[in-house]
Amino acid sequence: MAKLSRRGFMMGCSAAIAALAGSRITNLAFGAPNSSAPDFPGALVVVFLRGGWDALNVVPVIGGGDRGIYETLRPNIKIPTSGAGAALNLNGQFGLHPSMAALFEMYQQHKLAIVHAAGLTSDTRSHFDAQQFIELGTPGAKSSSTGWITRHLQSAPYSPSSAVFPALSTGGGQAMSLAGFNGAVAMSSPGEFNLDGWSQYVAGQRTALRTFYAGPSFLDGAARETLDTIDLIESTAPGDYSPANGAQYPNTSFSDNLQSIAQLIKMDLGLNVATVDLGGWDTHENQGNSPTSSDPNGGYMGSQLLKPMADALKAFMVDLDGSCPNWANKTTVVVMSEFGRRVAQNENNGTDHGHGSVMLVLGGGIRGGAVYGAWPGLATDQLYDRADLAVTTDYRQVLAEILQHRLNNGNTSTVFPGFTPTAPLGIILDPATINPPPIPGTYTNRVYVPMLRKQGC
Amino acid sequence: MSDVTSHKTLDRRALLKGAALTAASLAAVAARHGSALAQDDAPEAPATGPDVPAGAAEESGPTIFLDSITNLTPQTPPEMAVIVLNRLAYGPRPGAFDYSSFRAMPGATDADKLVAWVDWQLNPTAIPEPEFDSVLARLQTANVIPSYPKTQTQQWVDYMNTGGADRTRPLEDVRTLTVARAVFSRRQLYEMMVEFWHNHFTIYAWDYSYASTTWMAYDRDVIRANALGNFRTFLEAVAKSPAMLFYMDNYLNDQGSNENWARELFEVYGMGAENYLGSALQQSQVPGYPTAPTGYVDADVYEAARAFAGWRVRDGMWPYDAQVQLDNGTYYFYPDWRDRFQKTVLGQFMTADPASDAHGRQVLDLIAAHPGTARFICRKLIRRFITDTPGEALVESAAAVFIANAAAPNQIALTLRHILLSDDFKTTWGMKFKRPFEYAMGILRSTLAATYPEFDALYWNYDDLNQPMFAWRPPNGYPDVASAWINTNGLLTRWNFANRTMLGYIDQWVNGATVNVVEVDIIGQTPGNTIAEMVDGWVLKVLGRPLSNSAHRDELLRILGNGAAPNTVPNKNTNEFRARLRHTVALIYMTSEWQWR
Repeated sequence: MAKLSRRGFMMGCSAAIAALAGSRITNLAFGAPNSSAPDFPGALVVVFLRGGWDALNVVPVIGGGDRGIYETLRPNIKIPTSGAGAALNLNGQFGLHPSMAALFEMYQQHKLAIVHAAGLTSDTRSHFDAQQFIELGTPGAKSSSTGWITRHLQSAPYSPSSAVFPALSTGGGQAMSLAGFNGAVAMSSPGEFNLDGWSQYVAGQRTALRTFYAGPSFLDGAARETLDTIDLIESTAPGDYSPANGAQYPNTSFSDNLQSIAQLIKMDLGLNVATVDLGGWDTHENQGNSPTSSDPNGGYMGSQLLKPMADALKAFMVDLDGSCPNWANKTTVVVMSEFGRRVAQNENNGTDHGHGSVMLVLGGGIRGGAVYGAWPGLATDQLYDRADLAVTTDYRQVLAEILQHRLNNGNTSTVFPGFTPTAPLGIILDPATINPPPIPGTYTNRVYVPMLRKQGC
Repeated sequence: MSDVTSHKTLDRRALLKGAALTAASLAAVAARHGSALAQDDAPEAPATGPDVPAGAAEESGPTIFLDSITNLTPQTPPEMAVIVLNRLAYGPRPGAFDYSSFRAMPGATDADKLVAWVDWQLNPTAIPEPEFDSVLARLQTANVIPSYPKTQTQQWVDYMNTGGADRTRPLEDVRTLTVARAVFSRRQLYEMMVEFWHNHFTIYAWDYSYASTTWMAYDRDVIRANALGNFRTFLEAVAKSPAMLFYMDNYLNDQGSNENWARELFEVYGMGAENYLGSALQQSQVPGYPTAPTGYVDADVYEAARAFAGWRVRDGMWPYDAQVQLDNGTYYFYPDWRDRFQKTVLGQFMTADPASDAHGRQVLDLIAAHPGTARFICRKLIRRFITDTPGEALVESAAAVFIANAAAPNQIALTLRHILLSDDFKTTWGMKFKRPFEYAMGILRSTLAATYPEFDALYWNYDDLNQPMFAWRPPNGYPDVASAWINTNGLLTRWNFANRTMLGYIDQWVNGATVNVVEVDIIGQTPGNTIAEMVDGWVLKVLGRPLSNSAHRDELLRILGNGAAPNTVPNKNTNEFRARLRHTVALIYMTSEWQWR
């Protein structure tokens, strides 16, 4: 069958290929910028750390009265404040785990903001409940048929009109945050998204599959999106990807996922949202502590989780930080987990499920280089259930602020029903200071005409 | 063993646990990391190791799917034979176990035939295994499944206590046998139940440690031995297996020091998160407390963590104990780590100073007997065999059977029989989307492909479908709802598996020659002489009924005919025609009809 032209694809099917998911999958939601959205705000990348990361060792308290409590309750896993493996000093009160030097650099460049004691306010220590609540955006209730990202995409002013969504009435097959979103693209790598076989017969198969899946069901829609995506990828011939600016992606699949997302962002297809999962954070035993001469990355959590993650995130931001256009300025990354862990270590030098966590926000448009949120303290009476870090910033506050002030979607009550944001923490920069001057209205079709797009730079 | 040596052992295993930690983890660190760790310590780790975990359930870890979200629309059920061969088996196997096999069952009606089929399949040891037995004999003669049928202790000695060599041998052998049985066994319902329980009592087995080295025993002595048996008995066998003790960290549980097993026992293996009342309630605030608490709270988890203290493995680790130093991989209750004090779990008071591991066994009694557990297990069975959205009436009636037969040695078989003979089973279609394993095994079965599951190339290809075997890292098992599997990547990879199978792409370079790991005898398996006869013959063989839409058939005719009319008799003996035929048959596996069960 004939290839769709890129423009044809944009006009015909896509405005919303959304994204979707499966296990190793990166979830992507595309929405082509359209004339009503001259200031397409760029992509949101949500990194979900599955397992409940140990917030108190990711961003340990290094000063003040709570330091003593921290050291007492975590005798074998505490992060030191001086000497080998000392925490990287953020602001005198908090430090960053020493394996995250790459992110410390981003912090110093004001491209990383940290929100401590953030998280889910529901009473649960179940991974699965907590993840569902967070991703649905409805703490305490699992009955929603849509996830918070879906509602964001549906309510954002630049979202494609509903008419271009596949005609599906019920839930989607995405990561739960994308539940209910009808268009979906899941892929591990753009360059590998094709059908194997003899080319002349594979072409016939693709035509046949269009006939097989011409109906209205969810499966029909997903199959057509698969075929559309094959067409799109083929038409753009992504080929091998070379990161820009000398970005050094580590050799992990999480890093590969970020690299694929960077590639898609630069393909300028109007990527709205991408979600990535990274697991392994359920550190009930031997989680490690701090670098030593024999173990420069500080045990399991430092060497296997934090360092590779931090290195990959930095590479991603560096890769996007090109000159024209500067994609980093159009990209916001949120890193979150379902909960933090118990303040006291357990007897296996690990930590059990806890409550309050820490969120990271990266990008060119944020007021980085600061730790946000009220610190609840570590004294027993200040803890959740007298055991865990309390939550002082609802995770929805952080997301709502990004949606409202960074992604131009003020429909917070639609995205997070029943939640009223408080005064902004101030994580987001004034848009006027981030974005290049708007492109004149007559050139709003720039996305289809790369030559014109350059005028925005 | 000297103190020094034993600490060395600990260090080695603790290091290996980099992988195992993730085993206990909700999601996945890159298996690449796990492998790297294992290889640092154990360079002998087979190069042929799990390519899978390295790819799939790893870094971009699991996504959680809401059971309540469905995007499926009920469809008109096809003939009962189609339902049964796709839902209670991994698809038809032409000639021996196919649609006509169901039609030939005794009974005047489909309902009668269904009873006969279910009763036949629920007595698996009485079903002869001509095909599988010959495959097993071949595998044993070729010495490619050396851990079969070793005892647990023999596996521990041969694979765990050898300093790292062959650490995944038993696991790879089970993988080989699992595919061999799915493709060649006639005990198909039993195999599906084995898969169900492997997924329920899920363990990330690629740990290069307690699980991978004893996996043959876990599969045989825990899962297969109890798959149709008694749930309470099953639960204890799981709880005392070295694989689970390690995966859920309980082998380290010193006086309640680690609550991982206790929490997941309640949440995913026993009562289910649907019966978790949250962290805000105390036990005494639970409705029905103390005689019949409706659910569990965190305090139950903490108390249970104490109840399982000391449940460990004779693994040669510290501290010194003559039994522990037997180092034979068997379960051991280590009195020095027990919690001797009284406990209250699910409203039941347990007096101090229990005999041996009695408190832990009491917790298993309480969980196995709780009505919430019955509903949770039955709902999962119904979700496995009928629909993504089980009806509450069937959940309740099945739970009643489960509870009434709590002491029966065939409790699970009786419960399953009730579910499979229900009206829901007979009248529901389009509510189960085949998962990758069912999809792929069905292709291997229905093409009668020559299949050599001992070769890794099969898994290099299959694992792309995102359901690598025994490789789901969090403790909740692969999702069993369509929303987890219907997505662009999921569809593309299954289409590619069909093409790769039909086109002979699944091969491997071994000792200087290419081995065809999966090979379809396309001419030998193709019925008829004309274009139309071939297409229609394959469709009936695979799907058991014609395609629902004639336009779909026209597409198959168009590709195979390549311009020739449907009544043309083509020359089969050209590479070009055979290639068309292979692409055409692959397309049948890409139809929506083949995706449902």
